[in-house]
Amino acid sequence: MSKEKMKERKNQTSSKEKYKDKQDKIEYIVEGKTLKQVSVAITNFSEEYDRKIRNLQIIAIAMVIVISLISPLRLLESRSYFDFTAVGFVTASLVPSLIAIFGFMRGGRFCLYLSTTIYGLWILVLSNFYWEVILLMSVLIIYFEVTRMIQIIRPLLTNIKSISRGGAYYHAGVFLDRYFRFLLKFCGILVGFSISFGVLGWYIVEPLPSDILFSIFFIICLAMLILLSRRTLTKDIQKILIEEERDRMETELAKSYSRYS
Amino acid sequence: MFSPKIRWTVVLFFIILLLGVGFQEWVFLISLIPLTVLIIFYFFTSPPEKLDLEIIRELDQNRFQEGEHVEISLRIRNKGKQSIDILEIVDELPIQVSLKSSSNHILTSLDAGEETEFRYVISCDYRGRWKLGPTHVRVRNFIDSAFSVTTFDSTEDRIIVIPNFEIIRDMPFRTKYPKISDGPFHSKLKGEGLDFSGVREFLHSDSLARINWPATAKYGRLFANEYELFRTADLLLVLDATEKTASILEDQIKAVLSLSEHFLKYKCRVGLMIIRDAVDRFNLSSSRQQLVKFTEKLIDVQATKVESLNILNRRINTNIDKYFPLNCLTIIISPLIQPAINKMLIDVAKRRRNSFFLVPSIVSSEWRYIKEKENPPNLLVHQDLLLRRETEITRVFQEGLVVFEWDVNTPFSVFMNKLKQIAVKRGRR
Repeated sequence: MSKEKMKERKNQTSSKEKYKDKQDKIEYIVEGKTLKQVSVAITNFSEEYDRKIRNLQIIAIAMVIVISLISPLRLLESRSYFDFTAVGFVTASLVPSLIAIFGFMRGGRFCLYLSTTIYGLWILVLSNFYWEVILLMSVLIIYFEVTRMIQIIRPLLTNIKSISRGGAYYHAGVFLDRYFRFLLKFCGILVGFSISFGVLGWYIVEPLPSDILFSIFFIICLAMLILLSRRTLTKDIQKILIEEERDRMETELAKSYSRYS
Repeated sequence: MFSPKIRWTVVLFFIILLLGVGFQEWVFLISLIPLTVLIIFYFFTSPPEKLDLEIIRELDQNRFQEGEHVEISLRIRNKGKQSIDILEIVDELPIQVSLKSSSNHILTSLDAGEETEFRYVISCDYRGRWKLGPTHVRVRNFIDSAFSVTTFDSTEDRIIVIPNFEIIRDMPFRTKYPKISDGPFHSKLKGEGLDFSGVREFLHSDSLARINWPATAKYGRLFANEYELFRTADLLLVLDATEKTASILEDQIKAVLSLSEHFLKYKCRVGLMIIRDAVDRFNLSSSRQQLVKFTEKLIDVQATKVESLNILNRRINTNIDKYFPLNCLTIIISPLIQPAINKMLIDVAKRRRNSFFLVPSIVSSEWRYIKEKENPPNLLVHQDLLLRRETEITRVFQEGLVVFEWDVNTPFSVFMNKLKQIAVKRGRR
């Protein structure tokens, strides 16, 4: 490319930038005084939201494809009726997962649970290697979380007209930006920790006799359950008790202030 | 509070664990590793239990016209030290307003100390006094494993939706008892005025400026223009707001306000009587405040059931006889739908020297909402209703009263314009 052309291109880009800068802010001037300055969005917020939700859908689809494409590999090793049935089920569950992701029809939530169950069963029953189980389970969890998030956000913004900054699309855009950042962190932690624990567990725990191993595992799980139930159940019970107490106090207050008391 | 999701995950965890222990399958146990990481994630990313949010509603005014679009703005600030991953805000709206742009239910995210603005546009569809808010807030973590809900009552705000009226340009009504001062009524007395009424032969007392040259040229004699005088008069509007008028009350109110505005503009004295279970009365006055008073009252008027017709009749007669002169022009605005009330209104009209009925067509008003217009049962019912209505209107005619029938699909100002045109044509004949 000649130098002149390069210069021309540079000029064009710089003029575009200038135009953007010019477009960025609008001043409301009345009788020579600037009343307010408003920054103008270059792209429509609804378009930006569409792009972000499409990205989320692409992530979910990628997860489904990873799980679905691995399942036919099973047929390379053994070709029993059970294997064919399992591969058939996994392939068929592409339909509910697509419904769950894109919301073509009603029952998206049910389709999500159905597809997750089928994929989960396939992973549990037909996997051979420990890293395979860990990776596929992580992928399944990410698929579930992302699709659930799509299902939470999308209904809020159907048949809604976009307005400028501060509208529903703008806020959804802000939220999705932060969610993508979180998703990156979440995927990293989930896959990273799972594989680390898996590898460590394989080499540390393998020499132990299976009875001891299972009992240790069981104790850890029980401890976790107690810990979790203390955090979840007690809060709920506390809330119910507080509400009951409030109702009782309100009734007493109403009685004491009633002219018939 | 933790969401049911965390419980289901824990249940799933234990099912897989039991299956793994039962079948002694290591694959099952290994699959629990990502689940364990997920549960730990659920556990440690819960949102703040106590919300430190500040929500302020910014509303410039609280009085709006019916059908006006209003931009509602809420300023939200996270005063807490922890960021809010998913902030779901629902600003409660009354059913009498509808969303035009954006939404009153949003999903956003707020960092610690961050402030944001949440805006949406509503349309005030019905007159009345309505309440905006309170604002409900639900805070969740990104993984949606825990949430907390709070309601902000401080954002509650009241709005008043004022009924609309149309500007009338042409006034077709005439009064038998005009006053001396200038006003909107056309007087039969001929003289100087604003409105052209016809042409007559030139008299010696006429000024030369009034000569109609085209007519003079056509007939070979001198012709002069003739004008009508404008006069003021007293006007009493009687609004029927009884039970069965509910579906057409909005149109009736629009007619009342449009007429009041027009006559008050010309300094006529206007009074109003609203007939419901009770009778509301506004005495004759030509002040501009009168329109404000009418509007304030009509904001809250709802069609109500009449408990006792006898009592109502007595109330109407007492009010009308005591407070309104006999010769003031009385316009009774009623759809003539309830025979007992019609009888009462006919009685009122007959007691006055100068009165007529303005009848908005309730059948055509309700017919526009019927989707299957070609359906035979619907058509039959429609025909029956039309017939009943005709019977009622004929009954009024038989009493020697004038009825102006208004199809509410036509705007009131257009209807008045058409009436005026008809009146002019009849006058020329």
